[in-house]
Amino acid sequence: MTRPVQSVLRAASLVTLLAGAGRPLDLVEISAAVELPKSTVHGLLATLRSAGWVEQDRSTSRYRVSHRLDGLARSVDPADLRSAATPWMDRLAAETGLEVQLAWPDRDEAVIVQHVYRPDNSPQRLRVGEGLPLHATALGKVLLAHARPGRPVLPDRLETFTRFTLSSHDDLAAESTRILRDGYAVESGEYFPDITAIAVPVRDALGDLVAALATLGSRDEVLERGDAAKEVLTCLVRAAGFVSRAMAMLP
Amino acid sequence: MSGAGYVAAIDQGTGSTRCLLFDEAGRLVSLAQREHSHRHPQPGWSEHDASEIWGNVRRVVPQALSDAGATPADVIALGIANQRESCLVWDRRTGRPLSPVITWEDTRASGVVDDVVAAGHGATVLELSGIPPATYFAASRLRWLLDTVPDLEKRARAGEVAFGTMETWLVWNLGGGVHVTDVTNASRTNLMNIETLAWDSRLLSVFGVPEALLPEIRSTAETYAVCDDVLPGVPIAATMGDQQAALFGQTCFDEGQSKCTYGTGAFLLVNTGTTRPRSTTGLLATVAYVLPGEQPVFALEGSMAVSGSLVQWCRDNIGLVETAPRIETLAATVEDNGGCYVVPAFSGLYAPQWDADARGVIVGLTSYVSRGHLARGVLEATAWQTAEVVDAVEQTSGTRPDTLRVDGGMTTNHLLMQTVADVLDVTVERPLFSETVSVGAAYAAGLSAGVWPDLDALRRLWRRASSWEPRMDESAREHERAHWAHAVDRAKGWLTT
Repeated sequence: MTRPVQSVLRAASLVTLLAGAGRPLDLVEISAAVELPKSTVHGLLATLRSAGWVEQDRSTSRYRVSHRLDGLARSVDPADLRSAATPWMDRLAAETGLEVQLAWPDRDEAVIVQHVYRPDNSPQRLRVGEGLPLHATALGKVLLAHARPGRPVLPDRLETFTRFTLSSHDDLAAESTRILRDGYAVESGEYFPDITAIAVPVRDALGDLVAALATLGSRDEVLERGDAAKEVLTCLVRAAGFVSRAMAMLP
Repeated sequence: MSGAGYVAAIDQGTGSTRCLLFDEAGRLVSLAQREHSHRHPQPGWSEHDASEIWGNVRRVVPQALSDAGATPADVIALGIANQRESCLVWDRRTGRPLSPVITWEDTRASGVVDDVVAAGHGATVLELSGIPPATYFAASRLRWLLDTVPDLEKRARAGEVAFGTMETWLVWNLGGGVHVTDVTNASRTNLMNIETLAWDSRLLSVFGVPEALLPEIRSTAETYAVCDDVLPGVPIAATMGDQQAALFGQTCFDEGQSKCTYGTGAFLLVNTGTTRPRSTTGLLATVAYVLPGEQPVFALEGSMAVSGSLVQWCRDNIGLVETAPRIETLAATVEDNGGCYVVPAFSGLYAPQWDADARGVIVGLTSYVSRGHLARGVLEATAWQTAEVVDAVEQTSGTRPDTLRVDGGMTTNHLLMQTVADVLDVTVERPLFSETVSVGAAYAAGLSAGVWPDLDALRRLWRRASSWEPRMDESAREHERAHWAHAVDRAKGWLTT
């Protein structure tokens, strides 16, 4: 096999990154994401611009892929995701009697794309659009565990929300390893003291992670003997599979 | 699963025929669906093949049973919801169709309607049937068939022919030749008296329809027949028009409760209680449901011809977005409509304007307006059309709903639902069981068969899945309302200028 040409590989990774970002990125974000010095990235971007593959917004100096590459830029749209996922989220809420949330990664947060209330008609507030901390929620931890190396960039000091919040990077790395091994993440009072949740990945047709799906409730409802309750987990995994299949049917 | 008790619903719609099974908690257990062909042999004509639809029922019902691991013995009752106003005639002896299904959107019978109006019967029809003479309703289509199909009129008068809307056709086939309709469907024919809930001889004579053709009008939830095919032994315990079924499925049983279904078009129905409403301010008076031995419950209906279809138009004809849901992503790239308003009067304006000469406009364009602003304008068009209908309901009934229950595909559009809440200044709620048409048919059938004891038991099955609170301030709302009204004025009467 021929030795890969490093600069082509790097340029390709920049195009992939910009195409999948869903919004224009600035130089600092890009160099952090691909783990290259700003000067190197700047040179690559200038070349891609002259080739017409990348555009730079004049007012903000942010970069995005050229409209000519729109067909290549097969990033997931949150509205498509919500449309495909909602029937299965409704069904999951009906089966489990629990609150259901779907989140996707946006910069350094897990942003809620769809939210189905706990089906008991109690007063609840729609949380679509709200950003959740990656290190303190089941949804965020699933996204983090499956993220590409170097993306997203977590702050050195992880914010503590409750006494259960994982606040060391080493603990978080161990948690990610466990999540990748088990296939699901558990949140046990780490963001709100009275909220327990399980989350699993939602993948696209190529097997890449596009979102995370969670059921939320009280500790007794979601966990048994400190781990994910089997029945809830079964329903959750099945629903995530249906969402993945529905995503694969999108144009 | 043996010993399980399910309620089955058939939803015979314009695009497909579906069968859904629900358990006693009202939860969806399985769903099978089959599309049928839709023919447009001439401009303005729209037909289905009745035999094809019956064939699809015979496929989707066993499919839904098999997906749930159930047999007909597990099914306690069957309810049917159907596309309204679409109708056909068939031979009573052979059961063979003598016409295609002529659908609600077919305008071939406009000459019949013109003649009825020209003969001065317009006011009579409106007073007696509660709805104005229009090609939308079934009577004009039936008259067209009598005029067109050879020997049909003669055979009809001899009692050899049966007429029916889709639920009548399905009950006939499922139940071995029982010829019935329910009040909600009959209320959409222009032939039923909305006070007596019986065929009215004056209306029959206006349209020249022999009574021998017509099915018996029954309540919404009673056993019409026991299936001898497809679900042998299962009682057919409810039939309803689809929009009334959605109102029932949203458990809007109290006066003032309302629902809006957002599909290609949108249908808003408000329960007006046991007094008959008047079709004024562009709304239609209709029967919501009639339970055996109880007073009829009425509804006011406002229909918006273009809702989701505007988004589809933006996708297919303009290329504004690649998929329909992405209209929201595009609209969310801007803070407001940038002064751009879209009035989708593609085939005139429906409720409450009813202007057949109106055509669509996009106004307020400046060099500032971007694709995002246009997408906002598209979503706001659906919200403001809903507001116009709610305002008309308030003018007619004197009450304004404090909550709007929504269903249909567009309810996954978060920005649209928030905009509806904002411009209506009411709370908008989406239920967990979003298949409200089928849910309504199943609830009515289950109520009739004793699965659920009363309406209260059904009310308790309703579950809120999401809700949107209004958060637009009054001055912004009034400013936008004035601009929308201004844009609608631009659309009106376009063909006459």
